[in-house]
Amino acid sequence: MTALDVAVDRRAVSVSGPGKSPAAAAWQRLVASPAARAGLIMVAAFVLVALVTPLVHLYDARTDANLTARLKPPTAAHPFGTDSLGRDILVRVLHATRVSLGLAISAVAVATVIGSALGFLAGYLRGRVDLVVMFCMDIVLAFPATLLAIAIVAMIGPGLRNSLFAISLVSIPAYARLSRSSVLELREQEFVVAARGLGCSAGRVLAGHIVPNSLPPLIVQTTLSIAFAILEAAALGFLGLGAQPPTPEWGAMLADSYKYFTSGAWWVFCFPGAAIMLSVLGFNLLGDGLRDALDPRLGRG
Amino acid sequence: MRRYAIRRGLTIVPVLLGVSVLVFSFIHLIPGDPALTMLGERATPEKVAEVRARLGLDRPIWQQYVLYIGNAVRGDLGVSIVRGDPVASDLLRRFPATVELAMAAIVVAIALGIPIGVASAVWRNSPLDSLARLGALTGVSMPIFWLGLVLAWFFGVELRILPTGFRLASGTSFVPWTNFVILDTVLQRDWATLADAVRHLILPALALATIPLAVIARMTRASMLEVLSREYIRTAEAKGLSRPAVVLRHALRNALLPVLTVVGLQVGRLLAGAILTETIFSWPGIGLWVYESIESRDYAIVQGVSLFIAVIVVGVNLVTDVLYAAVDPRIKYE
Repeated sequence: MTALDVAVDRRAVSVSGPGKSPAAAAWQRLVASPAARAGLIMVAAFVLVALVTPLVHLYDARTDANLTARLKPPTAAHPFGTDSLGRDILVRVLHATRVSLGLAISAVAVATVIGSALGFLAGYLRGRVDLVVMFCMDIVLAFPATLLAIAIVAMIGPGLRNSLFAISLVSIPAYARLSRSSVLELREQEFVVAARGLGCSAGRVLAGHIVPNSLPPLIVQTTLSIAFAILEAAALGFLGLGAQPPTPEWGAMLADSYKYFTSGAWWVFCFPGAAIMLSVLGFNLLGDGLRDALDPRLGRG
Repeated sequence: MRRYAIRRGLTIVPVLLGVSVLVFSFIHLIPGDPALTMLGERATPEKVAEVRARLGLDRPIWQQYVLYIGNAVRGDLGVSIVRGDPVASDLLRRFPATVELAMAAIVVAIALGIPIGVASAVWRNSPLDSLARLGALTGVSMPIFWLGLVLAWFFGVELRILPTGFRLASGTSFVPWTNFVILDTVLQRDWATLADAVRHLILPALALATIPLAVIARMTRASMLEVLSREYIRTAEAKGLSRPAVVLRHALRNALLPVLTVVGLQVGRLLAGAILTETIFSWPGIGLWVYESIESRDYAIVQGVSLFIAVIVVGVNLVTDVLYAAVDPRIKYE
């Protein structure tokens, strides 16, 4: 065997061994955990339903009603039964997935961008900017998130866009705090000091060194925030503040149906609520799994 | 210690001011003319002008805020647009119902959450631990208004063993003293009404307890695992102490501190969760009141309750922090 062969062999070993990229290693740790795998499958299933349902089935909520088949229990024709207007609950739960998940994910996307930008700036610039930003965050955090979201939408008026605004606003402080603490930790590290010493601008230090290194906790936070945002969106919908009828949305479907529980029509509220719970559980399982996978220093709690 | 308490106490002053500015600005979030929105399209111009004047909307904004904060400090939270009653006195009349519900929920959450968390940590990675962890994660993923509905349907409609709404059966002759029904019935030695009140409390308290229960169980487990790996635990075991003595006397006492903080943090969640739970169970506290006020566009009530709850949350956080410092002598604050 020549020296070259040995060198190639070593590299081959190191590719599949401990020297693989951090992302690949984290992925392997993630799928090794049964709980995280379950979360991943649940999230993938809900996202798939949200994307595929509108493609394979046309639905017009405004014309959907069949008053001859009101409040019918589950049958083969209507596996989840029908609601008080005779609408098929399965169809509405499936179409609501896009509305509920879409609202939660867009609200979290907005909160992630704004919150982490604020946190990075506050942590990097420190001084007065830091003081003002974190003071504003403390004020938002003084309110229970659900209450603040409800109060804001109650004032600016019900609807999906206003719900999105309120949910992202109450989700911002978590990101600001998280990214600020990452910056404060990272800015004293040698590679950041070196980059500054080489004359990198503040923007370049932030974008090139600090942001990429603080991504793991942000990814975990984003997953857990989506779980929380689904619950918030459903709560707003349930109180009549989110999606307006006849738009199918899980929380609004519960608001439509909850008066009928006294008549024993369990199917009208069981299925939309189960969809909320399972999707939230999926994101929570995935978030916990990501936390373990992305930070091998933490013990498996 | 006292210096820490005073310094920590002073930090809430700017936060409370900020909170009041935010709640004050709610009324200006209303699109268009708030007075017109509250009164509806058919209101006469005179009535609209009168409400505008009463809300101070005809003055410059800084004067409006000074007026608002001045009144709020003196306990005046404005007047309900629909009924014309002062918000603050109605708030205090309804608050005991919410406190009763929230306290029942936190008692359930602590009484179940701490033993589950301890057992989960002691028998780590056992089937019991896996079940408890999955249960806790399901708990934090629970839409509590849905859980409330399921409980009300199952126990109230299918099994018919528990009531699904209100604090007492209709037609009960009961004279409230403090509006804490449980307390009043005990003071009045009215045991039949007490039993009825407890039966009405069970389902809403269970629904509201779910999330704090799950959070407390998770926190207790994590905190116990950390403490159980400490050297003084090994020392206690090496001394030959029994396992229960080590777990309960040496580990649990130290592990409870972070749990105490988590319990403090649940107060805000409980009060916000009460809006949803009370709506399902027609529980006449401030949560149901907020729900009804949103429907009738009675914004002064939404504002008043928001400010009230935020002040409570800030106060409870302060007390938790100071207690934490007082209870744990290992922590030094300077």
